[in-house]
Amino acid sequence: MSESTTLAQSAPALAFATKSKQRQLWNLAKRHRIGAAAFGGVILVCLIAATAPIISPYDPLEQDYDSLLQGPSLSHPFGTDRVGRDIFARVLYGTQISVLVGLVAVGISIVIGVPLGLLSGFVGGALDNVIMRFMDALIAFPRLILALAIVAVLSPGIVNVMIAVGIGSMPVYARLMRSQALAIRENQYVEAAHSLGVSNVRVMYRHVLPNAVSPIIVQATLGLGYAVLAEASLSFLGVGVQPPTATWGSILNQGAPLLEQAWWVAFFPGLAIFIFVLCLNLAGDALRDILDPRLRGR
Amino acid sequence: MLTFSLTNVLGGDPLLALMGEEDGRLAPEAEALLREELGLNDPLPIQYLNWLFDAIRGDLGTSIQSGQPVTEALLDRIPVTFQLGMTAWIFAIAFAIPLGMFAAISRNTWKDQAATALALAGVATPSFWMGLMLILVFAVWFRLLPPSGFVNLWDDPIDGAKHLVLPGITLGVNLIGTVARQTRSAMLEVLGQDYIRTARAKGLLERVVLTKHALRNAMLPVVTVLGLQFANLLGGTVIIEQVFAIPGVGRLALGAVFAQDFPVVQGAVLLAALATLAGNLWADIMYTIFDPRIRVS
Amino acid sequence: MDARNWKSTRVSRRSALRGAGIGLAGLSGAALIGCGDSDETSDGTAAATTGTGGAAPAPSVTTPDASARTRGGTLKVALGGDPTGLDPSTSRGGGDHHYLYSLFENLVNNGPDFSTQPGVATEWEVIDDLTIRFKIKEGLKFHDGSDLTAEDVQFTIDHHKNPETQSYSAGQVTSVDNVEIVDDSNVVFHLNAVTASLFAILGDRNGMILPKAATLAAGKDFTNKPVGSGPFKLDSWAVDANVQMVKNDAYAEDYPYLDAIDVQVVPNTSVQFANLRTGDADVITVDPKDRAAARTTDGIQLNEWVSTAYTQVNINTAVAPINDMRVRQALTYSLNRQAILDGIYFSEGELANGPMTKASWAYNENLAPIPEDLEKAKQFLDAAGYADGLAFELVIVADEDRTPLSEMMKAQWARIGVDCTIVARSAEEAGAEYRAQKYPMFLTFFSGRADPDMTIFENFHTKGGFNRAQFAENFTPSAEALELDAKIEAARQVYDQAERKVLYDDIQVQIAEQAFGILFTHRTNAVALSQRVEGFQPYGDGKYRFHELSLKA
Repeated sequence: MSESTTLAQSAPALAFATKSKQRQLWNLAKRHRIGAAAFGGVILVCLIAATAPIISPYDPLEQDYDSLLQGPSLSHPFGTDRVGRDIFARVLYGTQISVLVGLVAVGISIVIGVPLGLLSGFVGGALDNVIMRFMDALIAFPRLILALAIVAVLSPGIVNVMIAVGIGSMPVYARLMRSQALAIRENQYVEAAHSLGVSNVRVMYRHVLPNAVSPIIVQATLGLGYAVLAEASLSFLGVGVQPPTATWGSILNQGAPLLEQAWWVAFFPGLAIFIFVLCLNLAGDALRDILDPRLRGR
Repeated sequence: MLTFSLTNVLGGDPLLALMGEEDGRLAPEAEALLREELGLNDPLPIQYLNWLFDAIRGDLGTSIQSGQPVTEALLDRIPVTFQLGMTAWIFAIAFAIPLGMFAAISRNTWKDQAATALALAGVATPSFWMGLMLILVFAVWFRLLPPSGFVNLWDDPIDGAKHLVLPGITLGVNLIGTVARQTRSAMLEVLGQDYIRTARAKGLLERVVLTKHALRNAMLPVVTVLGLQFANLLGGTVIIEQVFAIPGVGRLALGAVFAQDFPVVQGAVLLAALATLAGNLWADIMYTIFDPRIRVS
Repeated sequence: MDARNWKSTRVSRRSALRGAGIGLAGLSGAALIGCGDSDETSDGTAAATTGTGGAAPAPSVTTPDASARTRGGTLKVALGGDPTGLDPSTSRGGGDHHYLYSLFENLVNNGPDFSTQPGVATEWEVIDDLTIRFKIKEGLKFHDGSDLTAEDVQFTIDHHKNPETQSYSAGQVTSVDNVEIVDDSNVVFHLNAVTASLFAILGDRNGMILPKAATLAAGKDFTNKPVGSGPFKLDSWAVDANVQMVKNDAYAEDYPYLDAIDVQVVPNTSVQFANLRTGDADVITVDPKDRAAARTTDGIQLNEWVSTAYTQVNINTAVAPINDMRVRQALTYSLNRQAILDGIYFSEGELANGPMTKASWAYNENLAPIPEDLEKAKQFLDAAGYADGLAFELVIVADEDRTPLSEMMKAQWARIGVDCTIVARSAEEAGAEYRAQKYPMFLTFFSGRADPDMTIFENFHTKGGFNRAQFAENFTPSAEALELDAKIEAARQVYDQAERKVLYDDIQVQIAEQAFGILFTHRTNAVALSQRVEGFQPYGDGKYRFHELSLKA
């Protein structure tokens, strides 16, 4: 199996610093073939998201009234929808937005959750209690219901979906950071640093954060998959992005009533979601295996 | 742990305050009337306390839409969602545990990876898409099962069961992934233990080793995670009940959210929180009872 | 509706036919398109009988071959949504009628061909243009056991007119000055203006007789616990789940046929259709997308008929930029209605030329649908001063049809430089915000009414219930709008149908030319029934009368 690494040493494993590191990476990939393939899939999807406007054969909003609800063909590889839009183009552009929604949602979770967890673990005391109680309260609600309630109150739309999903997934990162902070706090060299007069902030920055990067990345990978699914669900329930924006979820939503008449409208975005989330989960699992082998069994 | 739960309920309602602010979106006359009726003209903390005391007494207010007491509406629907949830649970367990075991036994071979991928595939599929496809295939094309609706198991066990199959499967598919992986890792951990080697050395059949010893001891984390996954299961019911036209709590909550029927939304959210806490509590209890340190290997 | 013919005190089958006039001839040709063994056309109900002392009162509505029908059973219906409410005055949805017609009885009924049939009133006499006497059947009781008397009839009309009630159909009875109680069984309607559509109006929400005592006692709760005198009573209503209605045993000796009606709310149209095919539902409305499949499905009865409903976007002429007629004209000329018909409605229906469809005698066959003319549209837009482009918001309630429809509209309008932002809201929010003048347009549908006056008044008169402009502060109708108002009022005061048709033709021309409405298509109704359902009659207004049905053994 891979060399046993501590968390502190695994972070550099992801840096492309020297040739021997690159060799290590290659070996890793060979041992976790599926994870590597999955990771490749994730990269591919992100590339598509970035280049959608370039590679898309049609404008996703363009309505061709001569090609209403056509099945997959040479000119329209994924078929068209009921207002004459090319599904392939819409799925491509939808990649952009779905990935963006996912990234921002996870970003929000991290940006809010990490500092809170850090503070909570490091400072301790009453602040810790308050923050953790709040996190516990958030965890008490099923994520989807929480997101649904938030979006319904704030009014539907992309931004609010991102916020709602981000907030719902936040507690995990907070807890993660908190346990990291707690662990490090006890560490001897932190005490040593303190006695030398190094401020808390610097300690947090230089010692706690680097160690926490790996579990956060693993969590973020899995969280991204969840966020994409959540967006699709919220669109299905009618509180997602507004028409005529195309996300995978909204295309799926429009295709759902037409399963019998036009299976392709729902099939391809569903497939896209499936592939992306599957790759994310597999990649996340592999990352977890690599970064902390003790947890996964030998 | 218990105080933990209590503080959650008290502290865990940031949404309720939020929602109280947002009803400014109704038409002016309706809003004024509503504010008066709901006592929203009182300062926020008072409102919240009022609601809380009422809730403890079992009175969750009245639905704006239907005039029905919220508690009654919820109580009507809890058995429905409960039956749906149980079906999903049972289905997930029945599939996930063998799958996880299989993966653990043939670990790191292609079989393991295939099984894991299969489990993960369940997690990656959008539930409403799967639900609609299942209806199309099993209800419409092959007329094997009813396409939608709900029949209470108490009223008619067979018909009720038939109505629960498709929605139960759809809801349970997501759960399979998590439980299977948990089973796998728990099994792997247990299989590495000394007492397993002892059992094998004693010459016991592999099958006996696996089921009697390994599985039993591996059950703890699996059972724990089932409790923790309760929350996700609940979230899934909102979608499943919508697709399959099942009159459960999820559908009630969804309708209330759209109609801005705040008493119902608050009640449903509270219920969801309580149920999640119950799941967590279950996990805690399981852990305390079956802590491996207590069992001597 | 030629009310003068009602001078006779009895309704005979012949006068029923005469009153139907053009409507009947038009309907029987267009009705019942499609395969499946649909039931025979009814050409009017049996002659009404006045109550005889001692015996149970004859029902207000009967259906053909009453003696041959099987009794008993529960009808299973799958519909897409709940009733918005079960109070005829405050509920507002076109789908509410499916329930209301079984729970309540109307003073007079609109037959399948829009002819007026007896209801709670067995006879009526038009004393003069402004005075009509109705004789109320004796022995009728409400679901709570109380008697239905003249007082309840008077109360019903007063209740709608009372501004506190906030009845959506208050505007339909503005011409009724008061209802005078002559005695327990007789009332006289005193009108302040000649109203040709009065009987049709009384066959709809305004004529559903409410129990005075129970309605006042229940207040706002009446909409959840309605008390009517109809053949069915409300057994239970689980919001957004199902509605159960049970037979009113006290209604009549051998009517209705069914024991109960069980309506399940199934939000997804594909699942509704699935339910029909598996036999879990006896009645469903067939969505345009499923009609092709329905036509080739065995074992079901499919009924398709022309509807009074049309699709449109509701406009608020008080909100800019829609207040400018040229903008409206630009918008309406830039639409590609054929694409809408094909893409959104799967080619089911026709292009709309005006608000009256072929189901109505007032259909203007000489009016052509507005053609797609981008040049002309741009000219109108320029004339209105928006040569550089125009932006506004369209509010919709997102669903299977309306979301893609709004997307189509947006794309089509973009071709002339109009940037329309689609805002999706829940039904309640959208309604409230639109009423509060927040948006110039609301994508919502109109299900059509029995009389052209009801349709046209409600939508195009400045005081019509669906015309939200009237709620704007300082709303001053344009000169054209006032001209249209005058024409609409004039048309309801003429009894002769031929004369009225000329007036409505003209009204529709003005509506089209001045774009008082932006209409898309005319719809067709389609209902699919399981094999065991009997007694279905397609009604011109497209609403179901479940109480007429029976189930074969």
